[in-house]
Amino acid sequence: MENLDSLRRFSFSLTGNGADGDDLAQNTVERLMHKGVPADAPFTAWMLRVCKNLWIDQIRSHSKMQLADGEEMEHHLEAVDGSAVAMSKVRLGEVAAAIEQLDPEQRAVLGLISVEGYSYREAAAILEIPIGTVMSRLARARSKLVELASEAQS
Amino acid sequence: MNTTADITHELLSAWLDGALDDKQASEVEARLSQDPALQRQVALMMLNERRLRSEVHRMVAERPIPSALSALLEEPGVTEAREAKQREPLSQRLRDWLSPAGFGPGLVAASVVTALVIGIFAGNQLDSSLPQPAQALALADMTIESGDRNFALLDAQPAGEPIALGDDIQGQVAYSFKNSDGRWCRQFEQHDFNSGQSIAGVACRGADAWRVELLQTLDQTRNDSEHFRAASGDELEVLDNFVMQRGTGEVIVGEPEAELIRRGWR
Repeated sequence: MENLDSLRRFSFSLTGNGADGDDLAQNTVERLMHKGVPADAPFTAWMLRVCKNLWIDQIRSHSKMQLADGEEMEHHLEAVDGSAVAMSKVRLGEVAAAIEQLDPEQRAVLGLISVEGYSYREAAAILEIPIGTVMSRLARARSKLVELASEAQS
Repeated sequence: MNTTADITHELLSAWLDGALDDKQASEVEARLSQDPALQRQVALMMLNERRLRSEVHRMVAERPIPSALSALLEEPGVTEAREAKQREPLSQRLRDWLSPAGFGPGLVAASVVTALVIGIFAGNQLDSSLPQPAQALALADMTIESGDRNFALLDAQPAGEPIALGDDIQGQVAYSFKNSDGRWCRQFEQHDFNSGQSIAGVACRGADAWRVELLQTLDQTRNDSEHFRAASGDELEVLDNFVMQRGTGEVIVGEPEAELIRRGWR
């Protein structure tokens, strides 16, 4: 269950919404079951790498993947908790809209480090990129979010 | 947004994650202590991270696992391998962001804490014989009216710019936000360089006064600097949680905040 939660969080971080996130998580599990995990590979890291690669493939193939569908999220929140989540709704919409402004590689780094708590080294291993690239993508993602938050306030 | 020339976005981002060596971290902190714009940028970065993490966790917690996915997991061959992963400092701060607003063990001796806090507000020497629990919290009921020196801090001081509140006391507003009840509120900090005591709190603007609603004592190791040092995210985790539960998510910095100050928060 811990791995599943981690997979779903990472999927949501990448797609920006629940429905597409769960579709991506399901596709990842199917892929893992079909292809397996190398005996010498850390399971969670391998799982997240497969997830990220699947998502990039889906974007490239112009799949039905939608990014940050505000209407879907609002429906989700109403179904879950009714009016009690009015405040969450505002914030969720804002962040989802902000995630949409990030490029796919920035979302992946943000999802691994800021949401999942991986170190730079671990994120670099999962994404198969140098640590320096992790740092620069993360910095650009954070700067972009700050920029968007500042614009939203002005 | 431009970062100060010699502090790059990358350096600031790595500092947030505790990924710099001591020398680099000291350089960043020295600049932060003197640069309100950079402080505001850090505050916004941290708030964004908290929102992101909070909302992703919330979606996973609230959204049922799709039946197709559950069915897949019930098939044989799916392992539940677990790994212990080392979290970076920023993530640690954000780790329990979604936890309910229980104040936990920090609430011990709330009345004593309130007394300590009031002592700082009054600029008095604190009684060192009293227990001084780090990270203690107190729900406060304190009104700051015009004429009180703390009124100037809360009513007129832009976020990120320290102000002297006495010979040895400095105050600073970390950020301003709109409360869910429509009031404007500010998260602030004060540090007594003489005693080493620091507090952080949240105050909201009424018609003519500020009402302090939550106060938190900070650790006792902050008197090693002549400069005001803003509390770190892990020190303020519970207080930030308090803010997130009551705020609309609208954080006000820069010109919008300056305009609110000019308009007397109306």
